[in-house]
Amino acid sequence: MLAPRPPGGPAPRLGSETDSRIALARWLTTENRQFARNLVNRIWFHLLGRGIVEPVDDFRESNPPSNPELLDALTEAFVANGYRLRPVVRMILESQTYQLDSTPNDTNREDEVNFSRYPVRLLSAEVLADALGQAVGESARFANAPRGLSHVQLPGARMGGPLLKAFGKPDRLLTCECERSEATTLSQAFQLINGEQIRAELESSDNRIGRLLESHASPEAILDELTLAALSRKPTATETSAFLAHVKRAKDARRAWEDVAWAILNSKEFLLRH
Amino acid sequence: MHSSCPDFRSMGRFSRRSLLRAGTAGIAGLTLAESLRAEDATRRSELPARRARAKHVIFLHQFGGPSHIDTFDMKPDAPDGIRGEFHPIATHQPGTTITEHLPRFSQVIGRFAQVRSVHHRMKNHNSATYYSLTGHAPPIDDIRLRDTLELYPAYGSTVARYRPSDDPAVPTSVSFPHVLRDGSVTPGQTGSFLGKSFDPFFVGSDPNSSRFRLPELRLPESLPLDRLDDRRGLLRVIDGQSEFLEWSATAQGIDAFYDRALAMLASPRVKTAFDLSTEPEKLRDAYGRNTYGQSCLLARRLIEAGVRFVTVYYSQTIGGKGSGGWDTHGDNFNQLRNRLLPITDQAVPTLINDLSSRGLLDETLIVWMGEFGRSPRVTNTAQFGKDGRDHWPQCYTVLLAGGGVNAGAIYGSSDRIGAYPATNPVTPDDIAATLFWALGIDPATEFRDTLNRPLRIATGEPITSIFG
Repeated sequence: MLAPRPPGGPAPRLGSETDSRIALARWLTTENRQFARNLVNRIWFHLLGRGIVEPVDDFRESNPPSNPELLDALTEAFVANGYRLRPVVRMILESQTYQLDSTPNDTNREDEVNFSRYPVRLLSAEVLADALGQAVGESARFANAPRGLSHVQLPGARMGGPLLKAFGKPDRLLTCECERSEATTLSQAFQLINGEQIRAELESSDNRIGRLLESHASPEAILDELTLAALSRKPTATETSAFLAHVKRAKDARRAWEDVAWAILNSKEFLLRH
Repeated sequence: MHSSCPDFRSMGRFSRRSLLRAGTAGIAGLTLAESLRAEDATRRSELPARRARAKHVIFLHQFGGPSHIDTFDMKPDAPDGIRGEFHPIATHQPGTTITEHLPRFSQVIGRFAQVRSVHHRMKNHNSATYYSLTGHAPPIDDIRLRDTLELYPAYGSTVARYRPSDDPAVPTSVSFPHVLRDGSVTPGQTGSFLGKSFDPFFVGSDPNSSRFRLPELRLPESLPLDRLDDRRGLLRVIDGQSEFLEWSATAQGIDAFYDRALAMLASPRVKTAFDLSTEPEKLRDAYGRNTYGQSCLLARRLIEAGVRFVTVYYSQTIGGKGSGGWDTHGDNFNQLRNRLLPITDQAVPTLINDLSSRGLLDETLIVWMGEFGRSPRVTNTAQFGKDGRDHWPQCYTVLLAGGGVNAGAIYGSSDRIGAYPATNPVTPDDIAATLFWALGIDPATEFRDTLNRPLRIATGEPITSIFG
C-alpha cells in the first residue's frame, strides 16, 4: 500500500497514536518551520501595518522577506518561547521600531518597506467600532449575544452593523487577508458624519457625557476627560479655547458637548493609528 | 483572447519595437494584439469629424446574457432548432423587425442604433461581464476571476476621472440597485486602480419599495445643516493641531471624502432625485411597478440632477425564476415570454419616451447590452431541461440610443443563423471606445495602473458611423 507523502518535504510520522490527527497537527506546526515563520509575519503585520513578507498570504521564493534576519530572529524567539504569541507580541511592542513616530523626515519619507517610520493606517473596522464605544463610554450591544461582547469578539462575518461593513469588515468568502479592504470610502464618511451607530452612542443619556454632566463636573474637566479617553492626551490651548467657547455660547449644553465629542471622534488623530 | 481576423491582420504589421513593448505587457491582460492595436490607433491621430454630444450615459446592463436571436436579431428563415418559437413583427422603423414579445419596444426601436456583430471569447459570466463593464478582456475566462486592483475600472469610474459632473455635490457615477455576483462579486463594478474616490455611488435598496430611501442623505431633525457646519469647524480645529493632513495621503483622502459627503448632504439635488414619491403615479405605473421599471425611472431623475453616468443592473443574479437575469439555459422561451421581455418592454420604451418628451434624449446616450448572446442552436440538457440556449459570446447585439446616435442605424450583421459576425465585427473594446468618444473623452487617453504603467482607457475604435 502506498504511504501518504507530501510533495517536497518530510512526511508526517503516522504511527501508533490512537489519533493520527495528533501526528498531523505536530507535523503541520512544530515540525514545519514555515508555520512559525508565517505566524510571526502575521503578528508583525497586525502591529506594524505591513508584513515582513508582504502580502502576508504570499510566501514564495520570488517574494522574499524585506528583512530576512528580522523574520528569522522573530521565528527563533517564537519557537524558543514554546510557540506562545504573547512573548513575541511583547517583544515587538517593546521594540524601538514599533515605537517610532509616523512623521516622515528627509531620510525616511520615501520608505514604504523598511519600517523606518510607523505607517499611518485607518483603524480597522472592529477596532474602530470598539474604540468609538470606549471613548464615548457606551458598550456595544448585539442581539442574541452575551453582554460585554466587543466588536473584535464578534464571530462570523454577518454580525455587527453597517459601520463595520463600511470600514472594511470582510464577508469572509476568500481565504485571503486582502479581502479586508483598507481603503477609505465615501460611505465611511457618511457613517461617521451621520450614521446611526455614532448618533446613538453620542446621544445616549448615560454615556460619558451624560455621566460627567450629571456629576456637575466643570467644562474644563469634561473636556479633559473626553480628550483623554479618546486621544490619550490633554487638550491643547487652542482646542480648549475653541471648544469651551462653543459650549459656552450654546443654548443646550448637552448638545454642545455632543458636538465636541463628535469632533474628537472624527479627528484624524483618533481615526488613524500612527 | 484573440478573435480571428482583425488581430491576425494587425499582427502582420509588427515592428521589433512593438514586440519588445508587448513583451512587458503581461499582467494587465494587454495582449500583443491589443498593444499593437493601441499603437496603430495612436498613429491614426485624427479624431473622427462627427461631433459626439452626449452629456450623460444610462448604461442598462442585462446580466446573464440576453438571447439576440429571440429579441433583436431574429432569424425566421433559419432551420427548426435554431430559429426558436418567437416570430418577428414589423416595427415603426421600415426594414427592421423585432420579436413579437416586445410590442411596445417595436414603437421605439427606430430610436435605437443596433450593433449586431459584437463578439468576444469569454464564455464565463464573471469574465464576460467584467469585459462588458470595462471594455477590456480579463486575463482568464473563469468564474473564479477575482476582483483585484490589477483589473480595469468600470466605465462610470473612468468617466468620473475624465469628465466629472459639473456640480461637485452630484456624484458623477451612480449604480444601482444590485451588486452583480456569480459566486463571488463580479469584477468591473468599481473604480479599481483609479482609487476609491472614483467608485460609483452605489445604492443597494429597491426603488420600487415604499421604504426606498437613502439613509446617508437623510439628516435627522436633531442634526440640521448649521449644526453640521459647527461640527466641521470644531473638527478643523483638532485636525489643525496635528500634521497628518500635511503629509499623510490617508488623512487627505479621508478629509476629501468628508467634504464630498457634506456637499452631498447640503445639496438638495441628489436627495430630491432619490425621492420617487414626487413622481406622478401614472408615470410610475407606466415604467412598471417592479424593481427594474422604477430603477429606469430613477435613472432619468438622476440624469436630470446632473449625474453623468448611471448604471442600472437588471438583476443581481444571472438567472433563475423570479428576479434573476437572462441566463436561460433551459426553458428559454417561457422565461423570455413570461418574465424578462414583458419587464423590458414596459421599462425601456417608457424611459426612451420620457427622456424624449423632456428634451433629454439628444444629450443622453442609452446603452442596452448583456455580457454575451445566446447560442443559435436550441439545447436540451439533462441539467437545465429542454428549450435552452447556451452562452454565446461569438456574436450578439448591443443597442444604443440618444446622445446623437443615428436613429434606426444598423451596424454590422450576423450570419444566416446568428452564429458569427458576417460584416463589421466589433468587440466590447470598440463599444467602450464608442462610449467614451460619445461623451467627448478621447479613447486614447491613458491612465496608470498599480505599477504606474500607462494604459489606454479603451483600446478599441469608436463606431462613429452610427452617430449623426
